[in-house]
This record gives sequence, C-alpha cells and structure tokens, in this order.
Amino acid sequence: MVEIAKKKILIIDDEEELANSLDIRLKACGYEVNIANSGSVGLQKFKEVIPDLILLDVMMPDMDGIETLKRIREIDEKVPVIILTAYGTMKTALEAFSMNVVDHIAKPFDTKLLVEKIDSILKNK
Amino acid sequence: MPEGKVGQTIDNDNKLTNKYLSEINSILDKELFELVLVNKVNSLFSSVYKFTEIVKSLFDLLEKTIDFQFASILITENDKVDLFLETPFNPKRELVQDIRQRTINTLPRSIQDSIDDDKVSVELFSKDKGIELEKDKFELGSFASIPVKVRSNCYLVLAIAHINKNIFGEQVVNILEILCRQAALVIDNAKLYRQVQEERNIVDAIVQSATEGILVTDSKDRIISLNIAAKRIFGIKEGMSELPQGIRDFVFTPLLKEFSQQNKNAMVKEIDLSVPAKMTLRIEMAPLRDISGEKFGVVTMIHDITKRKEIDRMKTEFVSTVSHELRTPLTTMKEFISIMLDGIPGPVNDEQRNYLQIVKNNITRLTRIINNLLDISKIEAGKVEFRKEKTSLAKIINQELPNFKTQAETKGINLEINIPVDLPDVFVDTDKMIQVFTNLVGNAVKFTPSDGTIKINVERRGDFIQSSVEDSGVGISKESLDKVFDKFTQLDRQPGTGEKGTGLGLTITRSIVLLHKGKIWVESEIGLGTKFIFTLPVYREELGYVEQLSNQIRYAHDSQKELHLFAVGCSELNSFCAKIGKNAKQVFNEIESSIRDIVQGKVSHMFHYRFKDDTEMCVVVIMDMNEQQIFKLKDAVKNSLLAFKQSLPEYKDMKIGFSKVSYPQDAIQAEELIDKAKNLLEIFV
Repeated sequence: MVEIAKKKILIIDDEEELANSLDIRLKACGYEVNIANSGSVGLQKFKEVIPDLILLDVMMPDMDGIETLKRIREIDEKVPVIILTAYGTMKTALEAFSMNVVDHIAKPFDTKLLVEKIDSILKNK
Repeated sequence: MPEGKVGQTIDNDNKLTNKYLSEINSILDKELFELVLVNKVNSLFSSVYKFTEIVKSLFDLLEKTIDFQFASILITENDKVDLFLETPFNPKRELVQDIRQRTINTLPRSIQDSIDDDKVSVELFSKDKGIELEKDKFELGSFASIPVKVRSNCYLVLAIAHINKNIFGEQVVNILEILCRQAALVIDNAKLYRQVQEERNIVDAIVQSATEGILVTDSKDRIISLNIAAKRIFGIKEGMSELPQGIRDFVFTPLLKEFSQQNKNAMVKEIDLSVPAKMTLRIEMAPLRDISGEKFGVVTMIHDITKRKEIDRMKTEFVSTVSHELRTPLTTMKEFISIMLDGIPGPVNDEQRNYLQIVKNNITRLTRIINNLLDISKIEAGKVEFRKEKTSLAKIINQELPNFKTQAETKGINLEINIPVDLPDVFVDTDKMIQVFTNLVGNAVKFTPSDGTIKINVERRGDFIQSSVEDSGVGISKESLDKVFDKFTQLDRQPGTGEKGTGLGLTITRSIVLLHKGKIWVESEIGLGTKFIFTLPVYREELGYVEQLSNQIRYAHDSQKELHLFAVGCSELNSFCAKIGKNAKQVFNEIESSIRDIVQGKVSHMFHYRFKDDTEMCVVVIMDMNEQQIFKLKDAVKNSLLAFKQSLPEYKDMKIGFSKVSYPQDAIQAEELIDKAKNLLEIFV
C-alpha cells in the first residue's frame, strides 16, 4: 500500500513559541511541519525541504519577511505563501501582495480559519 | 609770499602751511580746488560718525587750511545748541563770550530768537599750548563765519577769529564756506548713518536672538551674516563667521546655485547631515530685494527638525512595532489554549475546559482593547490614512445589516431601519464607516433590554447626510452625557449579555466622524433611551479633488518637490452671461477648453472647482516643472485666454482672472491652497 505523502508546510517566524504552537496544531491536522526562526534559516530550509506551502511572518529582525519572500520568489515563483501580519503592517502587506502572495492572516488569528485556508489552498494544488 | 589766488589782504604774519600752499598754487582751477577740499572732508569723515569726532576733524582741517587764533563750530538742532571752540591759547572769558555771541548772531534771526541762552552748551577744545595772548588783546579784530542749513531745524555755523584786523580775505571765506557746506552734508549723513546704525543694531539683535539659524549671503554668495543659532547648528565657534568647508561646498553652495539658477522666489528643502552630527535640517531660502526690487542677496532660514522627524518616525514605528510586540504573545497564548481545548495533548475534563474557556475569552477581550488603543494612537498621531470613495451610507448599512439583525434578535430587540431611496452619496472610507455603525449599534444593543427597539435613521439635511442610532434603553445621566466620548469612560449599566467594552469605541467613532469633516452628538435621558446622531457632508466632486490634491501634496512633500496650481476664474460670470444671454456653465466650459489644449500633456491634471458661494474656478495642478517652464506655461495660458476673449466681440466685457500658488510657500493644506488661489485671482484681461 502506498502511503499518501503528507503535505509539507514551512513556518518562518521569529517567535519560537508561536511557531511551536502552529507546529502542534498543524501536525495534528496531518501536515508535516518544518520551522525556521529567521529569514536566512527559512531560505535554507526552503531549499532543503521544498515545502508545499509557506507561512511567513512579515515582521522579523535581520532579513525581514519581504526580503525573504523576494529571495524565495527568485527560486520558486509558484509556491503558495500565506503571510502573517500584525496590525500596523498594511504597507508591508501590500508590498508582499505585489510579490504573489496567496493570502494573508492577521495576528492574533483564528486558528480554525488559518487551517481552513491552508486546507483549501493545498487541496487545490 | 606769493600773491594771486590767496588774496590781497594776506598779512605777512599769516602762515599757510607750505604743503597746502603749494597745492593751492598748483591747482589753478577754482572748482578743482573745491573738489579736492570736498574730497578731503569726505575722506576724513567716511569712517567716522560720532559727532565729536566730526567736530575734531573739522577743527583739524580748519587748522591745516586756514590760519586762525580762534575757531568755533556751532550746531543747533531744534532748540538745543552745541558750541565748540578751539584755540591754541588760554582765552579770557570775555573773548569766549564775544566769539560765542558773534557765532550765534550768524544764524538767521528766527533761529536766534528761539535759542534759549541757558541751553547753549559751550565746549572748549583748547590746545592750550600755554601761549599767552598779549595781555591787552581781548577784543577780536577779525571774525568770519558761515551759517549753513543742514536740514529743517538744524543749522551749522563755522567761524574763525583773530585778534588782528583784516586777517581773513575772500579766499579764506571761500574755503570756510566750502568746508561748512561739506561738513553740513557729512553731519547730515552722519546723523542718518547713526540712525541706520541704530536700526541695524536692532535688526541685528533680532537676528541674533532668533532661535532659528539665519544666514545672509550677498549677490556673490559670500556670507554677510551668520547668526548665533546658525553657528550652533553647524558647530561654528563664536568668533568665526564661515561655514565648515564640507557643508559649504557640498550642501550650501549647490543649494544657493539651484535657488539662483531657477530664479525662485522661495525654496524649501529638507536635508540630512551627518556632520557635525546626525541631523535633519529644513532650509528655507528667500531673495533679499532693495527698494527698487533688485535682488541683492539671499536670506536662508535654517530649522533643526531632527527632533521633530525623530518623534514622527517614532510615532510611525510605535504603531507597527508595538502592535507586533503586543499581538505576538497574544497569538501564542490563544494558540496553546486552543490546542488544549481541542484535546490535542490529551483530553480535558469539564472544569479544565471551563477555565480554559475563560482564559480564551479574556485573551479575546485583551485583543480588542489593544486594537482600539492602536486605532486611537494612529488617529492621534495623524497616521491614519483614510481611503475615501464616493459611496452610499445605504449600501454600507445594508451590507452590515445581517450582523446587526443577529445581534438584535439574540437579545429580542426590535430593529428598524429608515433610509430614503434617493439618499445622496457621501465621500467616506467604507471600513471606517462600518466601524462607526458597528460601534453605535453595538452600544445600543448593549444598553437596551429585551423587547426594546433600536432605530437606524438616515436622511438628507441640506448639505449634510444625518444618521442616527436611537435606542429605547436605559439612557445616560446628564452628568455622564459630556463624558460619553471620552477615553476609557464606561457607563454603569445593567449586567447582561454582551462583551465587556473597552471604553474607547465612542472615542474612535468620534475621531472618525470628525476626520470626515462631520459632527457627532448625543441626546439622552435616563429611562427614555439614547440617540446618537452624526452628520457627514453630501458628496461633491470637490471633496474628491481636495482629497486627490492632498495626496499629491503628500507625495510632493515626501519627494521634496514643489507643487504649483494655476487658477482661472471669471469675475461676475453669472451677471455677464445674463447680459449676453448665454449659459454661464457653457461659457465657463469654453474658457476651460481654451486652456486644456495648452496644458494637456504638460501638467498633472486639471479640474473644475465650485465653491460654496457658487464661484467657479478652473484649477491646473503642476508638478515636476522648473521655474522657467512654469513661467512659459503661464504666459501660454494667459495668451490663450486673451485669444479666447477676443474670439467673440460679445466677450469683450468678460473679466478673466488668473493666479498661481505653490506648495509649500503659499499654503500647506489642499483646501487652503485652493482658497488662496481663489483669493489671489487677478483680473488680467
């Protein structure tokens, strides 16, 4: 019997605890989860793991979300990215959308909503 | 002793210094001689302005040119008289009196009469070489004096005297006259000079004490003046008056160049410097013109806006950073509670579930409070960018209606909506309006018991759309009525269903309404219910234009550019059109068409603005054009209008006005700029 490959999600967020909570939740939903706590590590993991979907925090120190997204897009134009925004980041969110982001969700977010979004994106893939 | 020019009555005792004698002799032309003398007087006095200095110098000159034993200089201004006396001797009192009197007698009768003898001050410049006059000589033998009017109420008398008789000849009197006249001129100038000096001192004091830096340069860009504040900003030491070379060569000179080359009337720039320290300066330049309007220099104002920019940047950062910092922990908390409630790490019993739910609810509440706080912070920091559009309140309310209905029905409250079909549009940010209605309806639901009624009314009232949310709830006490819009004010209410409020909802609602140029107020009585009413201006195209212009001004500010408006209006258009029997609107459209062709492709855009008093104005918005090009365009537009007017004979009485205003020189806000353009309209054809 062939085991259906689990869809891989890459979470790039500098908030470790938050990333962990998402990890727990998404694993329970049947996804394979990888975490990166910075943009640069995220970029690395992206090349290693080749995820099916990326959750990207736009506000990170060092290489911020936009820069990370740019670099990812240089490698892969199509991988779906959901950006995690906080209140005052309208400008950044708009910038991200110009780089082909599939959706966004604002912190603090409704987990069920996030899972629904992820499900619907990956189902259609 | 040579004879001739120097006169016949020269006594052998007379000694003119050889030097001047040979000069006088070598100058054959009388006028040239006078000129030389005049020059000598002027050159002596050109750097001197204190009065006693003038007198001393005058005496010196007299000494060099004329042989005398006594000389007196009298100056009278209004009723004050100063008499200066010079003699190498130690004169007896009677002689002094004699000279004094004779000098005074030289003045015109009317002036003499007005002199108060007591007010005559006599100052003796006695060289007192210790020479004693011959004892029996105490009477003057020769006396020559010249009176000259310096200006009204001011006279100068120059006099010389000698014990011997017939000492002074015609030539000497001539010299005296020349000296006296020239001295009068110099004294007049000296007084003037003193006034100018005093005035300049006052201006200087003002300039030095200014908190902003002031730098004045001449037509060759050399620094004339650098005030204390400017020195402080650039780290220049007290005694120095030069800009540090780096700043001069790389900052200041290029700016001056730009200002002069483009022949601007004003220039405002923000520049960032890293020396002598990290700072941001706002530089304003304006030309200095003399009475005839000729530019003779540039005055530069320097404002240190480093702090202001820093605060501004902090405000922007505050909203985004703080929101992120506050939200992330909340998200994490919410997530883990969620995970536990969903039983992922293991099943939870009822009690655990209960407590976890309470925690979750409070996290949600905290989130709401933070959202509201951030809303208010943004509004107060001026960081809110509304996205206004032409839309209908009916549309907005209908969109949210399902939510409102659910809220009301849950509590068994009746919801009534009254919106006329032909409601005019408004110019608003839809999301913000939703926020306003959600807040007001939410409050109404909170404070109204079951079986109560909530009415939402919208209607047109003149130039405004008035909306109201009325409930039949508990009402608000008179004391609390004033505070209802204040921050963190929550009114006592009955415990019931519904979320606990944050105390900020109405504050935010009010800010939104005010920022849309509307008004909001409340009517209420305990036990009879509450009605919140707010107004919004009815949509006019002009609102959109002002908004668009505001955005362009913001862009110009951010990119350090200038923005210009040309405005064209027609004075008394309506009465003129009535006279010639034409439609005013059409005529104005014709005026606009005539300039549209000229400006098309060169300017940002053009729009038609109607003021509340029905005046019409055509506005052309220009960005990215230098002074020269603007000048050319202005001429082209004016010529086109002139041609338009001449195109039809019946238009000959039409009065067309034109004006040009600029950001930031003339105004900073869009509406102000448009108003100024209207006020400055000048009929030119």
